[in-house]
Amino acid sequence: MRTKKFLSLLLSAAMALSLLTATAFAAAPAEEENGFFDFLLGKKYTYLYAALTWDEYWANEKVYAAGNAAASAQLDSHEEQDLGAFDAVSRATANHGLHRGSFQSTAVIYAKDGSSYTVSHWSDDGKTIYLADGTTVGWNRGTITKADGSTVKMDHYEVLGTKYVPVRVATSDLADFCSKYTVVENGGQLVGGYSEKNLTAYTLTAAVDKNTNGLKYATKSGDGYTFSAAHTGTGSGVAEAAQKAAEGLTVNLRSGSDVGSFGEFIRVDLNGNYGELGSRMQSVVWTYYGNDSTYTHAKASYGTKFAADNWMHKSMGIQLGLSDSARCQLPEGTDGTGYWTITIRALGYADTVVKFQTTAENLAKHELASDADRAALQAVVTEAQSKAKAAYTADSYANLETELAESVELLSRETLYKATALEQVTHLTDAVQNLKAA
Amino acid sequence: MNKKRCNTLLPLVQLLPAVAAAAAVLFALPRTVPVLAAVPERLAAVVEQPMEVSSSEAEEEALPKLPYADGVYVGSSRGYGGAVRVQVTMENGSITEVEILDASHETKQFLRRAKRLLTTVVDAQSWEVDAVSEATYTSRGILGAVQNALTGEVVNNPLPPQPKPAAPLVVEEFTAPSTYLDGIYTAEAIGFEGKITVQVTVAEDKITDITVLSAEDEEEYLSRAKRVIPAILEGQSPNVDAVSGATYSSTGILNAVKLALAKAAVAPAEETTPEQTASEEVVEEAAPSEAAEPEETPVTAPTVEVVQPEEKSTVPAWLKEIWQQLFPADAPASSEPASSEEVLPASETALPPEEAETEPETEGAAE
Repeated sequence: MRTKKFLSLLLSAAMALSLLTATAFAAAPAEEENGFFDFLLGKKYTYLYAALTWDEYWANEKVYAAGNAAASAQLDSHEEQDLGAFDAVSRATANHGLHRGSFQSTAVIYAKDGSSYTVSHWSDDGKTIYLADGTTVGWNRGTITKADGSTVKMDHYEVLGTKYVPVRVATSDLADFCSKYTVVENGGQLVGGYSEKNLTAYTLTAAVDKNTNGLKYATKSGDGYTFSAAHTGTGSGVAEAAQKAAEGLTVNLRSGSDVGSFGEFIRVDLNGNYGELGSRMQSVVWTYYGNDSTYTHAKASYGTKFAADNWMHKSMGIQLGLSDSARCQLPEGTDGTGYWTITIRALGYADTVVKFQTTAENLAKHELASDADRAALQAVVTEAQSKAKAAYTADSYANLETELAESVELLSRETLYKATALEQVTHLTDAVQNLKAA
Repeated sequence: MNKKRCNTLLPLVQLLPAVAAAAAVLFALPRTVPVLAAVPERLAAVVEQPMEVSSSEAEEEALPKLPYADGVYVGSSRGYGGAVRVQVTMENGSITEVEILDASHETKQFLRRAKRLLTTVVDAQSWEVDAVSEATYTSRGILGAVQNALTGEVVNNPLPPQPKPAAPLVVEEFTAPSTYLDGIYTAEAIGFEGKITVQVTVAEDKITDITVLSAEDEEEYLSRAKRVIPAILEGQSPNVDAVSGATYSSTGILNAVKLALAKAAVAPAEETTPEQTASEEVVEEAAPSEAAEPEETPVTAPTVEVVQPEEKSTVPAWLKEIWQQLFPADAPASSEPASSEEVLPASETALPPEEAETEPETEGAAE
């Protein structure tokens, strides 16, 4: 009798356990956290911040071209190579907002001598760059002063991805993960930016947990890792700080000739109280609903990259755009008019969603240069052509010749964009001004 | 007797491995499928490879002779940082070698990548090949220099990206008032990199002084842009041409002066300030579409909302109860954050926004 009872109990327990196990796994997707099975396997997780490339970040976010890191050799209407998918963003400018790449992005400055500098943040006066390795270099309009006092000119800089993505990684993989990624573990310092008008540099303490907004699950895959879609959570991921919510933003859906100046076909600026949100902005997703005014049935979602699509100006707001590119193609049969949302994810913030409706007036026309624009360029060309070659150094005159040839070529174009023409006026004038007497 | 009863339980005991096996299959299934699905792609890739090789061999055989005499040619073209010079060797109507003579202005890492073009050009017997990804400007420099060497044509490659203006160029309209009120007025406008603030002094109905108080633009451009100041003072009007080569900075100064003078204007009742004129223009621009198509639905004003993640369970309630009893220390799955695609309506399976998001925190209208 006792044996029978024992066997019955054993059988019931075994069946219940089997059923529980099966149901637990049927109920939860493979990548989701499952405390029950993790308990059975003794699996534990560590929560931290990791720097991910654009490609790694977007690979599982269900956006257009997710998983595609291909670059594009094609130039946009602003003559920049921003038309690739989720490859690194490259810029050659030495002075325009360079430090903004250090707020939430992994930004690397490359110098003419081949040296490179991964930026952590900038000093208040903008003259010292604090590097990710803890060292510093001096900075003065494109000239880097190294620790030994030698100087080198900046060549270009690249924005590789987001530097503080909250990530959950299996504790058993932690050592390997940390050897492959730049991480900040809980208690470590999060730092970035350069305070300038509305934008504020920050120093925070990491405190990622399972409820941190934007948390991604890292899964070991071969020698590397894949990252799940980000999870929406209630936690800030910052020590002693509750999750913040954006307040006091105003929306400027651009229209007419205000769209397309940087190569984008659609543009939304956020003004008002945008400063801290802009300083903490990590990712931006655009979702297109076509004519669905209920914002229910999405036609497509688009991931973005800082410095190519997303920007924040020190006084003119958060500037967001979408470009006709490998990472953004409108669905067949649509033209970009209709209902859209933009979702901004920012460090320590709840997601901010901007909803708006576009009409044809909000789509870039890529305005052509007027007769006056062409005349302005022609005037500088005439001035440049009047300079005698023998009077100037070979180098400075060669530069003028290059710019002059470019200008003449532009003027011969039937299709010349206004922005292109105005920019070339600047270049050629610069070449004229920089002629050096022989 | 006991043995007999045990025998009656035997089928149930035998069922145990089957139940365990079923559980294992249920668990393993979602993890196995992607692995199986990946196999055909790998096989396809292996099959395609030999075909690519054979087609390139066929192309190689079919390459025509080039119409250039044997010899060594030198050419140059603009790369990333300056001119790239190459030397091209022709033998028996074919390009046999391309060498770089000078690429001192190029970044080493880009040049290293782009150098593969030296063999690509020889293989293809043409400079019309794809640029190397992420070394596009240097690639164009090399390819353009090869073209220049062989054909003598000047190849104008585009310039690398340059700084962007903070805002599109906008020229404020200005109508001179009948009289100015004496005083010192300040105003600001946008130049190339940001705001430019000017101070305008008006005395005895004349503009007597203009000072740029602050500006974010580069000094090099700003100093050129300031040439508009004597022109304004001379003509007693800010309606003067912008300085070519410093268009954004000079337009910023001119716009700021116009706005400052608008403050100094003593306007008759029927006159309007530039700011008023501008806002009226905006209204007029917006009106025609509504007037032409009055039946059209008005465009919805943009809104801003903050996502509040909802408590969402991925495990059935009855299982959660057992779970909590078995493992009280472990947090239940219901405290997990909901995934972003569940909260945000990014797909058709998503929840409607009303269920996932709170009321708008802020509302703003498009300009």
